[in-house]
Amino acid sequence: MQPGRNRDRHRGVRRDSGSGATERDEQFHAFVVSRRPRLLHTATLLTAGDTHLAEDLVQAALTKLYVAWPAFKRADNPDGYVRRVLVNALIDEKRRIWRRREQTMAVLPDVAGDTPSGAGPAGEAVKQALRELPPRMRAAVVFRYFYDLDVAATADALSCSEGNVKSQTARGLDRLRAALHQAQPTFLSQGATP
Amino acid sequence: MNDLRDHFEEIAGPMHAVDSKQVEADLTRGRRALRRRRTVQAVAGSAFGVAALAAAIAVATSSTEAPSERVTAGAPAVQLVAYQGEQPKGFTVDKVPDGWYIQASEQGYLTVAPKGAGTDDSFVGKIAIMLESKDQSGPGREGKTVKVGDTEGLLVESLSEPDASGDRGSSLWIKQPSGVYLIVQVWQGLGLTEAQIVELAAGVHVHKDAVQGVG
Repeated sequence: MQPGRNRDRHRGVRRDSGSGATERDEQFHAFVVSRRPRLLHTATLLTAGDTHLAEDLVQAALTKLYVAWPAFKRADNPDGYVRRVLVNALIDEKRRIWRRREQTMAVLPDVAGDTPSGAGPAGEAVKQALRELPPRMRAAVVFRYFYDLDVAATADALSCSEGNVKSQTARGLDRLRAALHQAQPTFLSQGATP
Repeated sequence: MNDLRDHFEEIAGPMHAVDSKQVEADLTRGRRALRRRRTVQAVAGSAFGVAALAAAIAVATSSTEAPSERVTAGAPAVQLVAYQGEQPKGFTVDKVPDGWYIQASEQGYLTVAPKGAGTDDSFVGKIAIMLESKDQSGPGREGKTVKVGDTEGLLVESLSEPDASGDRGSSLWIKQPSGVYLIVQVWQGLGLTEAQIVELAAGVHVHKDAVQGVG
């Protein structure tokens, strides 16, 4: 940045002129290149393996981030900011209702290609149980159990109390372990050799 | 493989390298959303903010309209009229905005959309009518109590924070005799007044075929 150009800056981001690449564009571009794969990975877990919805969440989150880029750049905890945006997209009521449309049928559609090979019956049981958790509970389990976030960081991501995180995580894990436990006999009877 | 963490790894799948086209598409979406937001903010801040905003949105959501059909300052952007078409199964409606149609009708929801609305699964730019999810238990946030026909409803903002385009939307929650709430969700910027949302909701009838979703 050249001396004397600071008047063109607004809270850390150059004002957009309406055409051409701006500093916001450049920073956002670099952010997407470096962070998108990880974001999609997290979103896939938050959606219990629904890769289409995960992509939808990432797109919504990135759009929100671009619009609020100055606030994101000012954030004390950028990673926490991104997690909050992602969780908000997950529990966004419109999106949730949109999602319900696909789940009101008696039999869930085939999700071939949605499941990595080798997951097996136990993996399917866990995925189904994860999918049946309410979104906040699912997010609490994913952040606490899989990403090893502490209670405070998870509470920040979910915009709820730490006590709520603890109870949601415990209940979620109980349900998942129960599903896994129930799937074990099936798993054994379908191919495991004593 | 017995450990939950291993199963989570399976569910998450491998991380793939980012595609340059994806990055460009993300950037395009962001810039478009920012432009929308600035347009709304600029219009809302003008002396004729409310009326002009309704007019701008009416134009934006129906670019094929003839000029004479555009909303005029001070008048509602849409007019409710008696619905004459075939009634949906789970829900029936007495009134819809003039010129709109029932785009999708399922046991779990129906959407009322203006002409030219996309046929995708999004509820963007439409009215969605549904029962609350099995995972929900009421509005869950503060709202305005309104009289809906012979009963009461709670009018709340659909989103606690505006989305990328600055939209909060409105949802009217009406408790049914079964204890389950009926939700009439109206995308912000459609031009319906609060009274029209209530009037439309008062004409929604829930039938035994209607089902709750999950999630």
